[in-house]
Amino acid sequence: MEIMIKIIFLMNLVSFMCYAQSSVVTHSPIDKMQFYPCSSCHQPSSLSAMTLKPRTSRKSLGIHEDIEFKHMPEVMDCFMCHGHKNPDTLVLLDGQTIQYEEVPLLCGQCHGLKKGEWDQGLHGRLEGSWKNQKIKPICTDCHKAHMPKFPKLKAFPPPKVPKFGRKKGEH
Amino acid sequence: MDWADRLKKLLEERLKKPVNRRTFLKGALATGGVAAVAKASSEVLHPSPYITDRYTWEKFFQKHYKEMTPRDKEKVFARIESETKKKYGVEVKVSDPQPIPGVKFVYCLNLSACNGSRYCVKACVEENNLSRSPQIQYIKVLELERGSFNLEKSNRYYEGESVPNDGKFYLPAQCMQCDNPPCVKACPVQATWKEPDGIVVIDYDWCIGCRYCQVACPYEARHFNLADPEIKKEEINPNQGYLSNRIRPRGVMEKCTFCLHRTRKGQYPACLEACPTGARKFGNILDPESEVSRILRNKKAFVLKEELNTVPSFFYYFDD
Repeated sequence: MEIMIKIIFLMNLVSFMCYAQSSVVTHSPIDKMQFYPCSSCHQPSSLSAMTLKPRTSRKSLGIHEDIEFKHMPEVMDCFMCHGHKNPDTLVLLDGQTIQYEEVPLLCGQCHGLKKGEWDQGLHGRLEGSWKNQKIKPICTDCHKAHMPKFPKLKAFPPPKVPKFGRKKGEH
Repeated sequence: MDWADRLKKLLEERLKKPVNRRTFLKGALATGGVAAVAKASSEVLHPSPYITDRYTWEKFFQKHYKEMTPRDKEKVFARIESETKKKYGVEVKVSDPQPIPGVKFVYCLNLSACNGSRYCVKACVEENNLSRSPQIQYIKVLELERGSFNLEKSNRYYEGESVPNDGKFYLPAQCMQCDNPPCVKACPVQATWKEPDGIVVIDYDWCIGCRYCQVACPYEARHFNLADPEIKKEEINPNQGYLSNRIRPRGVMEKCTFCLHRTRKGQYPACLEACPTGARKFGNILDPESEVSRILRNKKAFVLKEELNTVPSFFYYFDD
């Protein structure tokens, strides 16, 4: 039995080392948030008064009135995702506390397929270098946290129609 | 007294005999001929700057890219740099990154994610020093009806105040870097060829501008420089590659090269970096851990015009 445990431990260690050697790094939103950490205003004791009321009374959000929440309409409570005890953290549905840079774990609770694709590099933007160090943006780098649907954009102008050409399809 | 009378009188004085119509015409023709020859010889001896810039000794006897020694290349790159400085007033650096052994580039594009915002087109034009007038664009974004896939019914001139437009999806098309490229076979002077890393390149100084390759390409990926490219001085990208984004001369073909001056140094192509939705994926297909390898393993990827057996290195896929 002990041998088995040792073998499992070694395998885990090897896999961890392989993982650590891969040259993929993820973005960290901590850089953006370090100037205004949530805890600079929110003391853990005052948080209980912050429960989001039904969406007809959005003024209860106070200073966060500008936050437009367009995601799951049935969610009425900030603390479904935000940490209640420590406002600088996020919480999963099972009560586990995670840091802001681990937000894919939070999104992956519902969007498991997308999270799986993101893990493999199939979903999301590519940054950095294809050869050396790949940088992997996390969910909130591209999607707004409270309104994750990708916004519509203004397209750049179309090419000029050739003078003697016909405005028709290609190929 | 007009010039004909004057000439007649002059001739009469010289020849001491009356001039009839025939002798006058003879004299006039001879004078004209002499003048024409003199004009032509002066053009040979003192040609116009357009001719001198275009046909220099070095250019005329420049070797094919594959036959150039490193020293030849240095000379050629210096010549291109000085010409660009003279013509556009910009200091540029012409480089020539070589293909990396064990690398074959592949592009994958997620059609579910593309929103047709043409950010890639703009980035490509700026990165590759494409002519603004006459307009050349390597990437064509085709707008298609959702649920259809008839490229002949696509629209590339769509306006988009807020894309994606309702009921549409978008298919960007550019050079497919085929593994069996019809354009390379069509070239009569071997000015275009396929590099070991899969990129089809053109030696712009060897191209004779016959445009056979443009006709041969089924993806309309090749473009011809009908005029000298017009680019604003401040918009010229000074990081240039001999085979990729240096400013093309008039009368040669050009095409997308997967930004080889960037990708061979490890960077991503400009169109990928500009894409706001992450629809574009690029990487080394020979590396099983690269994103493109995983996409080809896990997604139902397809190519355009598969029946033509061009074996493109540019794949499209939909999410799920």
